[in-house]
Parts: sequence; structure tokens; C-alpha cells
Amino acid sequence: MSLCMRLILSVFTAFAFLVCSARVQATEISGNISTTLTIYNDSELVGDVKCMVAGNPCIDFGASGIKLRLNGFTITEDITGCSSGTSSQDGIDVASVHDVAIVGPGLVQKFGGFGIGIFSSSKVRVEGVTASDSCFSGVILVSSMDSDVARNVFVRNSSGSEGAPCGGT
Amino acid sequence: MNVYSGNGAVPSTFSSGATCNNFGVGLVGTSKDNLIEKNKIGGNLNGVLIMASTEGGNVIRRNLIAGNPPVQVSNEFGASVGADIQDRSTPGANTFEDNRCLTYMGSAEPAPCPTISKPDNDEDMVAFGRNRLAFPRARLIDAVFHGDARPLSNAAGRPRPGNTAASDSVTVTGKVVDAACFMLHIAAATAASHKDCGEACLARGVPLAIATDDGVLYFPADGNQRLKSLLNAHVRASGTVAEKHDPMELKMPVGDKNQMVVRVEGGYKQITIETLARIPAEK
Repeated sequence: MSLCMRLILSVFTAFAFLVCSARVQATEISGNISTTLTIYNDSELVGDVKCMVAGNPCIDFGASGIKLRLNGFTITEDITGCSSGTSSQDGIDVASVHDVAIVGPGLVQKFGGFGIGIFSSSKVRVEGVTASDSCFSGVILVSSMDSDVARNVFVRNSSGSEGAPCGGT
Repeated sequence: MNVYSGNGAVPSTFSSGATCNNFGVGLVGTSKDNLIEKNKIGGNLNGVLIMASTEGGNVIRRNLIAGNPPVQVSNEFGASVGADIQDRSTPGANTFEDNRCLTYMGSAEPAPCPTISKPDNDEDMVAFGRNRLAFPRARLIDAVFHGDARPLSNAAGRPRPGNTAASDSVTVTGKVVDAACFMLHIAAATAASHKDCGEACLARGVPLAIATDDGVLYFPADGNQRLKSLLNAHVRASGTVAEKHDPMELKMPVGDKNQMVVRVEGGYKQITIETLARIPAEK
């Protein structure tokens, strides 16, 4: 069995890649994601994304100075039931990077954790995104600074936070 | 501007009288020096929650924060379950400016809510208030029509009665129009090209009225019965006119699922038609 996880990306040109999960060069994203997709350069959705990543975020940022465009598409986990076991299943994570952006329009929905989690990062811009129906916050900023959250819609999040301080942002 | 709506849930371990931690916008941990500005925050368990652990310097200004929590939630779980602004921080540590909000839980003096009387001459705020939610909240088109700006005769300076007495018999001349459309866009409603649309509106029960050349609408007291065969025609009608002061709503379906509601405020004229005649078009 290969040491690399097989990650199938349905791309605009309909090619399928078998790639090492440690370093995926993703510029165009769509289809099913079953292992965390780490992006290292500017990336964009070219179709809806269905996430099935147990215990980890669906997409995360692996480099500073890059941008993820949602292009009007949807990222969905469609979690069934919120519990502490699903709390790490975020839609998009931004951790320990700076000067990155998540740009809508686009919908991030129904995740067991946060829709978008921003941790120990700076100058993160989240703009034009709708984050809905995740068990914890729509967007959370933890130990982050100089970030800009503008023109977003946060709806019906934190349905399963069970008293933890969560909500829209 | 961000929109926050319907975020937060009462935990299963909730006990009566407790306060909940969920929010639309939350400042938690050691958050400091953040700007929360020009957001629409409604229907969340708390609108804005500021935890005691925050380090201050946060500015919350020019937000519309209302309906937090929804009334059904506060009815079921008690008023303390949440508020438009729940502020657990040290008084003075954070700044609240020009928000529109109703309920506040915290110890800031003066309390930042309720604030509902900010002047409407602030362009940003007025424009902000006009904006609709970006998602399809309701398939309803509303319009408010303020009737003739001129004072209604016999009504100036009086307390507002429901109606005023009918006048002696008068004669009015004008065009029979689809009233709702006329109030929204006079030029379109009186154009020949509007005839089919007007007939469709008529078929769906939209009130007709006689629009005089100076733009005054006279609504027939007996509904569309006598005018329906005269849509878009010039007519001369005589009868008594009463000035109504109660608001009136004209509803019409738009497509299969939409509805347009034109609300007439400021009064309107109702004519009890005694004689009605088409005025032949000039050759």
C-alpha cells in the first residue's frame, strides 16, 4: 500500500490526480474530498465540494500569501448529528499563516466543527462567504490578529456547541 | 457588513435562569482591539457576546442588533437566556457607539441599549437599513406609497379620524388605471403597452382607480365592478368623495409564488360613483 494517501480531485479538465497528501498543488477544486486537502498556492473551486474527512478539516492553508476563491460553489460536509467527536471537522482551516484570503461568494455548510477556523494567523480576509449550519461557529478566530471579516452571512451555526461560546463569528 | 442570523442553540444541560454563551458575534478569550462595525445581527441566542476574559479596546459601532434571542426562545427559556448585547467585560473597557439595539445585559453605564432614536439623517445608516438580507428570506415585494402630499381637504389640523364625511357630489375626469402599478410607476401604468399587464392584474383582483391628470387616485367604493370594462379608458365620473385615512394594502400576485404589496399611507380618496361615462378619444 502506498505511503501516500490517494486524493482524487475532480478538476476542471476532468483529470484525476493521485497525489501525496503532504503536498497537494491544488489550483482547481471540486468533487469529493476524503482526506484533508492542503493548499499551497492560489486555489479556486470549480464545482461543489463534498467533504468526508473524519476528524480533520476538509481544506486547510499550507502557505502564507495565498487565496482560496469559492466562485459561488458550495463546500458541504452534511454532518449527521453534532458531537465532540465531530468538532475537528471544520470546513476550511487557516492555521499559523498570514496574509491569506477566503473569497466568496460561496457557501460553507453543515460541518461538525467550525465552518471556517482561523488559528494563530494574521491578516486573514474572509469576504463574501455564507457559513451556515455548522455544529460550532460559522467562522472563529483564535489567537489571530489584523484580520478582516466582511460582507459575509452567518446563519444557524452552533447548533451543537452545547454551551461552548460559539456562534456566527 | 456581515449578516448574522439564527446562530446559537440552548444547550441540553440548560437550567432555568441561566445565561447562554452562543452568539451572532462573539469576542472571547483575550480578544482586543477589534472593530465590529455595520453588521446586521438578529435572531441569534445573543447578538453580540463579550466575554469577561477579553482585554478591551474593542469597538462595537453602527450595528443593527435586534431580535436576539427570538421571542419564542426567551419565552421558553426565560429573558436571561440572551440579549442583543451581552457584555461581561469590565465597564469602559470596550466602546459601544451608535448601535441600534434593544436589550443589554451588562454593567456599562449608560447602557448601550436600547438605542432606537438615532437620527435618520446619517446616510450610511439609512442606506444600511434599506438593504435587504442577501439570502432569500422572503419572496415578497413591498412598496409603501404615501398618498397625495397635499393636505387632505377638511382634514388639516384635525385629529385623525377614520374617515371624513363624504363631500357633495363632484365630478372627476381621468384614466382608469391599475392602482398598484400606477403608484409604483405612473408612466408604465398609463402606457398603452401596459394594457395586457393591467388586465392580468385586474383578473387577479388588483383594485382599479381613476387617476386624474394631476395624479390623484379615486378608488371606487364598489370595487372594480363598474370600472373593469374601462381599463385604460378616459372617463368622467360623478359622485360623492370621502377621504379615507386608514392605511390600505393592495395585494397582487406576481408570478406563481410572489406577491406584491403596495401599502397606501397618508390617506386616499374614495368615490361612490353615481354616473360614469367614457370620454371618447380626441380625433
